[in-house]
Amino acid sequence: MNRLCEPDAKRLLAAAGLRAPRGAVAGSAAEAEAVARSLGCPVVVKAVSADLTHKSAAGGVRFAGGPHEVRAAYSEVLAAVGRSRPEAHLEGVLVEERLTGGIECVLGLLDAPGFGPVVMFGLGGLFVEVLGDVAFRFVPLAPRDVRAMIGELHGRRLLAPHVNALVAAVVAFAGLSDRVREAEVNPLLARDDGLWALDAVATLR
Amino acid sequence: MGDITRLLAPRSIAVVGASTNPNKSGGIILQNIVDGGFAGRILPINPRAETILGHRCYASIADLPEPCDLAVIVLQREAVAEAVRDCVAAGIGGVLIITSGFADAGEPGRALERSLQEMLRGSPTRGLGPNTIGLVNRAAHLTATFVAMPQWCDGPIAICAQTGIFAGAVMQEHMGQPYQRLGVGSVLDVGNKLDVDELDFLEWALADEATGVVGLYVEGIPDPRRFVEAAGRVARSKPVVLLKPARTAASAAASALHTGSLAVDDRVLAGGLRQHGIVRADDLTDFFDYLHAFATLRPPRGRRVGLVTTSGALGVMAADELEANGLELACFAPETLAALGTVVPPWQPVSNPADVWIALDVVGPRPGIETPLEAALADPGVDMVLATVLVPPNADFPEVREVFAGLRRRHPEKPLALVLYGGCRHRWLTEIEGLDIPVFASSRAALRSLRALADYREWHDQA
Repeated sequence: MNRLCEPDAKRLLAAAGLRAPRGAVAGSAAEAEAVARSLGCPVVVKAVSADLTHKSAAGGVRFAGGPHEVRAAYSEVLAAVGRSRPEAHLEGVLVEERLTGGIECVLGLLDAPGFGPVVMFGLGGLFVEVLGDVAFRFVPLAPRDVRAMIGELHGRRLLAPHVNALVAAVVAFAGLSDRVREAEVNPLLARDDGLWALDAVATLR
Repeated sequence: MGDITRLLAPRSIAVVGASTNPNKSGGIILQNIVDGGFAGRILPINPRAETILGHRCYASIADLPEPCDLAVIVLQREAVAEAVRDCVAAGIGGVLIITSGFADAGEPGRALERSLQEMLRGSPTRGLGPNTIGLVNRAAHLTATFVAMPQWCDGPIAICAQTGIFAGAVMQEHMGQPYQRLGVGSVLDVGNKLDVDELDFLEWALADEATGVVGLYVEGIPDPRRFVEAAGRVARSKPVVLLKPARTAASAAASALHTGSLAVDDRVLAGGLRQHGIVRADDLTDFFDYLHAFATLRPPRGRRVGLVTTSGALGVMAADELEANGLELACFAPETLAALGTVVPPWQPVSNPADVWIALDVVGPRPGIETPLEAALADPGVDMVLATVLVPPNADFPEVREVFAGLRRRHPEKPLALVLYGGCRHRWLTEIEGLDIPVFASSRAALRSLRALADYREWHDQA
């Protein structure tokens, strides 16, 4: 199985210029607390496993407002995943800076039957679950294709300040398709300070 | 896999199953080929007749003195296989199998079709159909269908369809109109696509000098990526308009019964089509409207629309629809506003939409419409003009053709689209026939087409 765990997927995305929030993988509650202290901000605590594509559904995501809450979050996350997905191979817990604000987007790459590699981009969070406000293009993409995709979205006006950053990011993301069979960044957070991959899954070819 | 020019511009045609009975398909097709003015050799194949319509009959394909380019097969289903075998053996360029009941009719039919494909495989003989109404190619004087079209309107549009309607009843009705017909140079019904498909047609249409606009109706696309890229290659030089239903699972199932087609993920397809500059029609009305627009108008340089109307209400509705179509209401230049000001009373403000009904009284019917249209078309801030014009008798004038011919001649690069309502509509339509001014059923339809033109231009300029 060539599916990557979240930290490895994020490393791969970094090579395409997509940044992730600061963070580190911890192998113990104490280590998790230490990471939170060094980050010095509210954090997200997430189970790390290549077998978990939907971490929240498995109970594998907790927030911790301060370092003193991290040990409990660490234990809860492992216990929840242990109950809901006992077969999942856990590689630790990712303690990551919690970013807020901005617009949630979704960015995906897949081999669509009959089409080959295809990129999907659109509004994430509620929008993708309920409204499916996304657009598709074949790989390879040109910058004007990304602009056209954004122009197709019902929520396009929300993304107006972020178009240039999105164009660069989506084109670079599409360029991963020679190594990556499938990938999704959801959410890709678009903020004034740039784009952030808050979560990522990827499967190598 | 040779190109299909030999099928679309044959020098000789055999009709296998030609009939002496003018009411049977085999008789009608032969009659249509003859009436279409085909100048090459016509070779009826009928073992029981000496001549049909003055052409000498042959008992079988094997009896032909030399191989012909195209053999039209109009036989009962069970007799088709032997005819195809004979054609392959004789080195015929292509077989056009009108007969239905193959992959369109469940498993026994599918098996029969597979055996036909086997016969053609590895041979230079191409196969069209089965289950096809035939083909039309005006440049080759070829009307190989069994629907008569006495009033065909020739032009730059080439249509490839997985249905008979564009060479059949729908086209017959459309071509029966006295005006505003599509100018169609060729139609090919690929039927079940046992061999020749829209990819072959696209390659042909790209090279065909008589073709300026391509229309495609497809239900199933086995290799969607390849299709989109092939259509996109054509779109770089000639607009391609696609009507593809079977977007929902239910309609895809209907399509599977109709011609054994495969369903395709429509959202991914839609993205790919936009990426490659293919114009997508949502329904048959769009399809006809877009083909007409692309055949008569040059795609505009921008998205700014000048609206001229002789009904305030029509102007307001058009302004709404314009925005809904992602077009822009142009900002008229001072010169344009000044010109508009000469045809309305001093107390009436002028803007876009320009409501010039009152110009009838102020300057009279001809200048009342000519001055505003000339001003809007001449305005550098206007990329295209939509005129929604009421034509009751008091708005009519004798020189309608002269006015519109002049506007078109002076501003060939800016689309001028019309919508007409009123008792003199028929007269105006007759007057402007042949001037390449499309008249739409409504401003909604006109703006959909103008948007399609603008989108294509934008894509084309960035490609």
